Amino acid sequence: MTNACLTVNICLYIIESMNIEQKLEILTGAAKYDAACTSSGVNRSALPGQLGNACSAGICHSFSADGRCIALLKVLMSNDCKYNCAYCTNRVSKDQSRASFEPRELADLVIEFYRRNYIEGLFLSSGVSGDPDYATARMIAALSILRNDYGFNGYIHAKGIPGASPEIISQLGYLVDRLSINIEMPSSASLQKLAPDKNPSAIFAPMGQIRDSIGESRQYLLEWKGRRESRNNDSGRRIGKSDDLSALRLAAGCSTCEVRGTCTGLDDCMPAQRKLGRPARFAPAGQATQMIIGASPDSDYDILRTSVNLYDKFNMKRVFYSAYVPVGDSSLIQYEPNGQSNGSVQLVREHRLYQSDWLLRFYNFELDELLSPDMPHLDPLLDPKCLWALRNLDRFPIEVNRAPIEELVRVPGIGPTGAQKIVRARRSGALDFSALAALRIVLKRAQWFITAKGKYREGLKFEHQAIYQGLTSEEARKRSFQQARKLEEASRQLVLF
Amino acid sequence: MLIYTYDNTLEGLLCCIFDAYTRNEQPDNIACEQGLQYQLEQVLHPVVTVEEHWSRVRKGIHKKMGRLAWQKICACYCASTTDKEMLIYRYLRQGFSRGRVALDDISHPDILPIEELYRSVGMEQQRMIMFVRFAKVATTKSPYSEPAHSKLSTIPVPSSDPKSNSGEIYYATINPKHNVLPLVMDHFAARFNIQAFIIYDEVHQIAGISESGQWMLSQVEDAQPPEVSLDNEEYQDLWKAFYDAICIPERINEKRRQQFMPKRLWKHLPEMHPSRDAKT
Ligand code: SF4
Repeated sequence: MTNACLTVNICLYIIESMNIEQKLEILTGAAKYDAACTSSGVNRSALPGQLGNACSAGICHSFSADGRCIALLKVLMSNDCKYNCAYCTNRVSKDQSRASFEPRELADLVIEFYRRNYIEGLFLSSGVSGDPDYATARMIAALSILRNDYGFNGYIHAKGIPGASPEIISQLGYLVDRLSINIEMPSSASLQKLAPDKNPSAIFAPMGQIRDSIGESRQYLLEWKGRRESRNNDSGRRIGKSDDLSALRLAAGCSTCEVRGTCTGLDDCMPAQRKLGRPARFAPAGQATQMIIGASPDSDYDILRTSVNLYDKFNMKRVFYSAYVPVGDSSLIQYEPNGQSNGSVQLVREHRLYQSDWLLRFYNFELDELLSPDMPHLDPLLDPKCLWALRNLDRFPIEVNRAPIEELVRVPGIGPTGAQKIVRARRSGALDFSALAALRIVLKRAQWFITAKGKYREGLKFEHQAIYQGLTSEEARKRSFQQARKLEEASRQLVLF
Repeated sequence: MLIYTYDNTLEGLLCCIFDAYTRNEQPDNIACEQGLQYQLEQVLHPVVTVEEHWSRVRKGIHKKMGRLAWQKICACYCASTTDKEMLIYRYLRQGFSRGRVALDDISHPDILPIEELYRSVGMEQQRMIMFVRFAKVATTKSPYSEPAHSKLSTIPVPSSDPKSNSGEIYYATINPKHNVLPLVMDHFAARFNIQAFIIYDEVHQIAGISESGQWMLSQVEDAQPPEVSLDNEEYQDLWKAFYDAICIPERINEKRRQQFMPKRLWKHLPEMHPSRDAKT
């Protein structure tokens, strides 16, 4: 036996003997830098005989020591990759252990975790082992075991691999709830530099395909529903809130059961596909993508402009921002243009970007209201709404008892919930500052920008310098970005009622 | 002092409202029949739970205040605060006399407490949906048929339905601040309709039992957790391995973790179990 032969044998032995726990550790560690872990965007009610459902608001099941929500089993199918993206821990030039799940092994793991209520579902991505089609086909193998063999009805988010053929992407789309292709870098120049194996067209082409398929499948579903309704034949049986048990519940001393659980009671719940003969749906929770922040010299303005484009062109449900965490030294990586290269700066930046993203999508802000080519950076000390308000002091202060809701939401510290509370409460009488406090409106920032019953808050001066100091000293007192961060993913995941 | 006593059911509480209106009086307090300490100067009125009465009140709530108000009352009734009866009573008084406008006046002293309680119960409900952790229970002999757990013999054990995965039972213990088990059973029963399961609330000593999408509640004292099946440890270890691997050490943020996952709930989370930490 030659030496080469021996080595091969040993290698095979090592690969085979890697147990599932070791694989899980490696393939989780390889996936953990991906920011997306929400299970949101689709309602699908449970079906008799099938495991699982999906809830549009999303449900976290745990929080890791870094405070991030764990909703999905987030793993790679394989961390074996032939590409060499400088920002990625799985790049081919990096020396580290490689592992791959067997499709059934992964499917079993998902089912066992799901049955124990550890997870909402699966987030599956993969390194490019072999070629993009092969790597995607292995993901498809695992997902079709889950969906078709096991009838798994929970949430699945998959990453499409740039360069995979349209047929393969299409297969993948019908198995998952959300499908995303990572844009990775805010500009094609950065992409070219840091991910030389990927080219923009290999990213944008499948994004366009996914957008079109989602649209077509939605259209088809609508027509199908129309036909079904005209036949007036509603055979869908929902479970979990049947009335025949109410007697039992009363007997057990509990009559509160009429209260619906958080998501099973929503009227627009989608029954799962196959059982009702409903047409299969292509990525019903839509398309998302991720950008890495701070590995390239792109400014906040560049980043947000790219996001706006992505939302407009591809109907993205979400753009995720992921602060770059150094994974081995790559000379190609450039930090902040102004030379601040520490990690927590990138985390603050990530947080400010999420806040801005929020303003653009839910508060009707336009990008040029927040940033411009001349002022391309967000302020680490001020949240973007405060920044905007300070630049537009002529619009303030506004009177809380008269201002329309669109203006109220634009006040720093008052969000849609706060604005709604104010509008509700002021119907039964004008509000003063103590009434606002009773409504649990956080006044720390808002107080600078409002009047109540025509009066400005006592002891405050409506003047640029004073406001700036008031706002930033509060922020500085918080000392760290960490507290301020609670808004973003959290508020998305913890939607109450 | 006028005290109404009732039978500790939501129906009973609704009958208190009914009596207050028909007798045209204002109780100073509403208390549970059991465990009431009688004091001098107290006038007791034991409220009798009558279906005709509570169903009229319920209809009235739906009509005058809407579905959301009814939902709030049900949720607040599950709160574990001692004054919830009076809070609900005062809220309903407002609602009946002034209609929906009153309920929108959320800074009003009779309305605000219910709004806040509703938030608090809702938060706890959400937390249970997140943090219930099932363990697979030994399949061959049901833990409930053993004499050692005779107290539990009142729990109807889900029979092992051959269709529903070979008669396994999943078991979870929870320790919620409010009595939210009734509020989360719909969710779990639907999601896990292919598995028989029991969720035991050790604080309020109540068990939710579900099979094939149907569920019921049962009052149980001091249930002993049944023995878990062999492969359960294995999956708890795998889950812990995943939990540790998903963390980005550069971003450690203990405060944030505890804000979302309060320490009081860690005891039933396998990923937070100290013994498992020592093992890995
Ligand atoms: S292709 Fe994906 S896994 Fe491979 S190096 Fe690039 S980013 Fe990493």
